[in-house]
Amino acid sequence: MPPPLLERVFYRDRPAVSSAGPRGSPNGYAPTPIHADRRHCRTQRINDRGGKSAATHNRQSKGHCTGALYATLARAGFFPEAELATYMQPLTRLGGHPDRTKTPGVETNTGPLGHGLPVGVGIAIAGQIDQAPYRVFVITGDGELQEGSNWEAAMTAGHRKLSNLTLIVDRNRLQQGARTEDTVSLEPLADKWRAFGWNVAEVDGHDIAAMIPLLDGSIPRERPLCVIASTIKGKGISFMEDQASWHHGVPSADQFAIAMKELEA
Amino acid sequence: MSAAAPAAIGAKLFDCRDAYVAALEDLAATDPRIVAVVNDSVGSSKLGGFRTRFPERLINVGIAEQNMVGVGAGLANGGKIAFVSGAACFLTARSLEQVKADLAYSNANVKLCGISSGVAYGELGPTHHSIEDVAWLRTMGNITVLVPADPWETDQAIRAAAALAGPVFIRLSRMGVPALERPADASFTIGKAETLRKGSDVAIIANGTMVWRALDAAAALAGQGIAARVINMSTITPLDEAAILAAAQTGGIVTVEEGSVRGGLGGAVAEIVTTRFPCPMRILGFPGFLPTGSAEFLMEHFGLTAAGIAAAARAVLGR
Repeated sequence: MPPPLLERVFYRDRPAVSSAGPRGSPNGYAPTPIHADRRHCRTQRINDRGGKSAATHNRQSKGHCTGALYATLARAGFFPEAELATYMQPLTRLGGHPDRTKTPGVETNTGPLGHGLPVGVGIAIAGQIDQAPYRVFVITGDGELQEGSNWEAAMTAGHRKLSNLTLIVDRNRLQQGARTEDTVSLEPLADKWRAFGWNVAEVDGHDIAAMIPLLDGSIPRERPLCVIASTIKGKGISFMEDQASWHHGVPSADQFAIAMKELEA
Repeated sequence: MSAAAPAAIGAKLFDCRDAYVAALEDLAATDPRIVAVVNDSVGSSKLGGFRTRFPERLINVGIAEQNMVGVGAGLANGGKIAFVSGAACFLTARSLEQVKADLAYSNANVKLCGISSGVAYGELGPTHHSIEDVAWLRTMGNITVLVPADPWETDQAIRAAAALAGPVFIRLSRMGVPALERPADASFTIGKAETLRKGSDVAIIANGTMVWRALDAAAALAGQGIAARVINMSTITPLDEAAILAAAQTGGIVTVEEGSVRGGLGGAVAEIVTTRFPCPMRILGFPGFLPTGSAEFLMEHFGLTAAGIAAAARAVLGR
């Protein structure tokens, strides 16, 4: 089976990434269907439509995953795919972290961790007040859940029963320096969300078919939903898979060639 | 301890929080986009009446300032105009990165209302003083910083902030201040300084709770043959540079604020003066972490009084 579109787009543009770094966990994060499938990615800037549309709000709290985000937005038509070549180059609008004032399709400026969920909660409350049909999606990393602001927001969402809010946790078990469970453990993670008043679904984050029913709104609910998507960072690339060292890793030309070959195998 | 009755103006003192909530309720009655976000601060923000009138639009996130500011940004993204209110010390310090990333950098349509700023919580000590807030927020791009001086200006500032699409910090106090005397056709414009007293010997630039004290100082100086101009610089960002350059052409400038002498109103004025029209200058404010004491005690102790301001003006003039 060929690799999903997103991985190919992302890795094709990988050599354009400067030696300055990023951007971690593209494969661990990329298969999330709302980003991989345009039918589920109707992201628009709220300012363009006054907050009444049924379109979905996507919030990426993992602001460091701009490679995957920009590739998806380009493929969804927010800007030309050719512009991906300017990624992190001087004066680009595709910076190392997303900027809603510059990049079409970006709704929230993230990068510092623990920002996406509180903002998503605010949008969900606005939708609740307006009885608007839109739904709000937030993607966070798992290591990011060590930021306390997430749990402040989790309490608010649980208390207010924000059923229009879905959080997807990219549970790849790696953070910048080491494994999450060796750093400050998150488990039992599902129990934590339940204790905060959320519904929880645990899925294989690489199984898009399994994730779509969780995300397409077909299941009515009365609480916010946390989808814990188990993923493997660098999946499909032998030397990257599940390696913390690739969080900020940039492949050499040889490594890039090997990676592409393995992804297309 | 209440403020001493001002000599220059009427003796009745007003709590500007009342003007804040009256304006907010008035706006909310006609604009369904207006929402209030609080951190268990309904009482200290005096938003009980707002809650009664608009219960679905009062969002209490509990004691969680980072979340409060992020939620405010999200509400703005959902089409609301969020007035995020809390004690200035926590609203700005605890959530500073959210203010930077979610509001200022994102240019979100959120109004931060910092209650009990400066040394209003004097006896509670430096954890509850908020003398750094203006310095922190004015270094950020995009965010408008307002420090109204009395009830009328508070009302005007709230309305102007609601009408401005973008992030605004409104620094409010709970300390009593007199209603300043103004001409009937007075108007408030963000970014426009207000000259409350004419004079060309020296200029006193003040804002917030210090403005009426500056007027008292100017009255005292007049008795000593010194004509002091009094400028109410209620907008720190964007700064009225023309008013500052004009003030620099008097014998000198005294700035006075209920905040740190580092990086606040004084710093903002000094940036203009030193690079564009150097003149003698004094910056009055607080030097850093302060001892415990009432607000009035602390102002007396650090010379933030009519007498202290007048002395600084004379020092600027070498008299």
